[in-house]
Amino acid sequence: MIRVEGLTKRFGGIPAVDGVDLEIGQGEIFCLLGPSGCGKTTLLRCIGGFEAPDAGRVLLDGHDVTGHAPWLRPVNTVFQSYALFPHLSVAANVAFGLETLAMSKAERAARVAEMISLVRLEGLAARRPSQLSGGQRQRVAIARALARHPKVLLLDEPLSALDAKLREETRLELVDLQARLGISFVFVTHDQDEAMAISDRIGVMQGGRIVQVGAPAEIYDRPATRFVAEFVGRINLFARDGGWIAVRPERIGLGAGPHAGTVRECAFLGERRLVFIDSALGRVVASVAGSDIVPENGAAVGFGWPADAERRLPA
Amino acid sequence: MSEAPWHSRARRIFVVPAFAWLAATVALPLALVAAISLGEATQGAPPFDWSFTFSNYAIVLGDALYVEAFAASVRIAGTSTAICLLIGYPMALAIARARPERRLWLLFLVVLPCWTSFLIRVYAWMGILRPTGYINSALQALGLVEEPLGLIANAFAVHLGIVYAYLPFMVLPLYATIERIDAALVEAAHDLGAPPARAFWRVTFPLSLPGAVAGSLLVFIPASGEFVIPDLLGGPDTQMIGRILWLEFFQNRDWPVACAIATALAALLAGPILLFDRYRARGT
Repeated sequence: MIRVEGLTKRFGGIPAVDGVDLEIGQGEIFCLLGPSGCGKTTLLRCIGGFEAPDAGRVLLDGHDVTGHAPWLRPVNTVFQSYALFPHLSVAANVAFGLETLAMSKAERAARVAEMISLVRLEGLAARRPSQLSGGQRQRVAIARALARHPKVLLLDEPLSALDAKLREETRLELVDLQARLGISFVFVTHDQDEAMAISDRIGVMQGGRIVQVGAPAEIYDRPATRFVAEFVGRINLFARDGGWIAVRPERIGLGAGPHAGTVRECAFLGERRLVFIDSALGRVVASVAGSDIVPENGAAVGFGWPADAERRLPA
Repeated sequence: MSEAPWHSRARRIFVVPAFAWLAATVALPLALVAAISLGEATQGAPPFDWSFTFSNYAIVLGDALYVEAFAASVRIAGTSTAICLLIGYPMALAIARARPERRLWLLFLVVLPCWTSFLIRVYAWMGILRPTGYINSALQALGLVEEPLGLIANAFAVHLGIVYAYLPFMVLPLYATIERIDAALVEAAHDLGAPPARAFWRVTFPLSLPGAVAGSLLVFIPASGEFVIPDLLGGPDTQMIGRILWLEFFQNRDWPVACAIATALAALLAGPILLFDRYRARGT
């Protein structure tokens, strides 16, 4: 559906996106994940047509759209701050993208009504964006972007402006919406939980490059680099043979084990409990079930992990 | 009073002197002018007696000279405002879209003429436009015209002077409004299929209207009462009300009629201000 080939975008000589190759399939939720400044938003903007790449190509459905202006691309964007038109009603915002399409007035009105009910905003069509809550504004932004029936929906940190509770609900709604529409969603986020929860595949970015692409479980269980291991979830890293051994906290078992240490601190997170242990290997974190009984702070504890929990990473 | 929360007391500290200042320098003189407009002219000093008569208004409204002058003022100020808008809008748009480090310089250039006295700048236009001025001397020296062109003492010169003098007051509020429009809104319009011209007319332009209205008022209101420009650059066909007011006051020494003209002018200009207020109240 989307092919990105050797894409490079520099700002003032410094590459923000540095030779990215990427293929995103039809009907896929693909997430670009990385810390701020990693180039994920710039890459998304190159796909949307808001930045002209210095090198490389963007193909949509097999067509090279690299030189096409945003208004000529069959993609639409949900902007980070939603960018709703403040002087237009909800219905007029949703209808905006239909004005340049060849449609009868009745068709247009029907499409607007369809989109508004798709995001469950019936009854709010006449409101201005300033009269809506944050969650409602986000729905308008989605309805507006979907109204043109894009082949791909681009979403730039669409959940970052929502509070934590609403964010979790909205994640599920987005997944549900994508499943019903069957189009590709390309999502930009710095929140690894969000990326894990909704993506079919994740592309982890660092310094303008994609360092690993894979399904969430693959990224989590088999990180390709130390950066990925540390960015996606918690990880214990132990130096060995000039490289690193990575072990996820939930694979560390407490009690009898080949290693010994002292419990430094326990953090109770509800369903899980994190146990921080000082040992000869350095600071180790173990994640145990919240209901497990754990040693007190300062107590000596043994720990270990099964061989298949180890992941070797290059230095 | 002592139980009022600190912020309400603090607000009083700042607001009370400001209102006292406005009352002393605006409301009081205006009330005085309105009171004198109801008086009767005499030969004394001051040249009027307190009274309560509307005869001065009858004189002003009954005399074609005054009514004509009011109409000419509104017409000239209106046309000049429209020209300022047509010139100022593209300027403000270009400045708002210039690179940030350049914007400050461009704004500086807009404001730069104001560093010289208004009066001197209008005199400078006399030097440029008069029959023996720079333009006519140059045209005659080049042999392009035989007789000097009539560039001064007419409506053209008055419009030129007003547009020249008041253009910054149009550009600045327009710039401030356009610059505040979120660039993401224009990108969203592009994303939704609108090419640049369409995005401008559907998004940027409607969102810049408050700036256009504010700029138009800042030009129209002082231009309607303008005295210096029609006096120095105008002619018999540009009798603006500000000039008539000056003549009544200083040449005819008819203070009550002059005050009636001033009060009528203030009432006339209050209209657009109230309209703007309602427009703003509706917008937010």
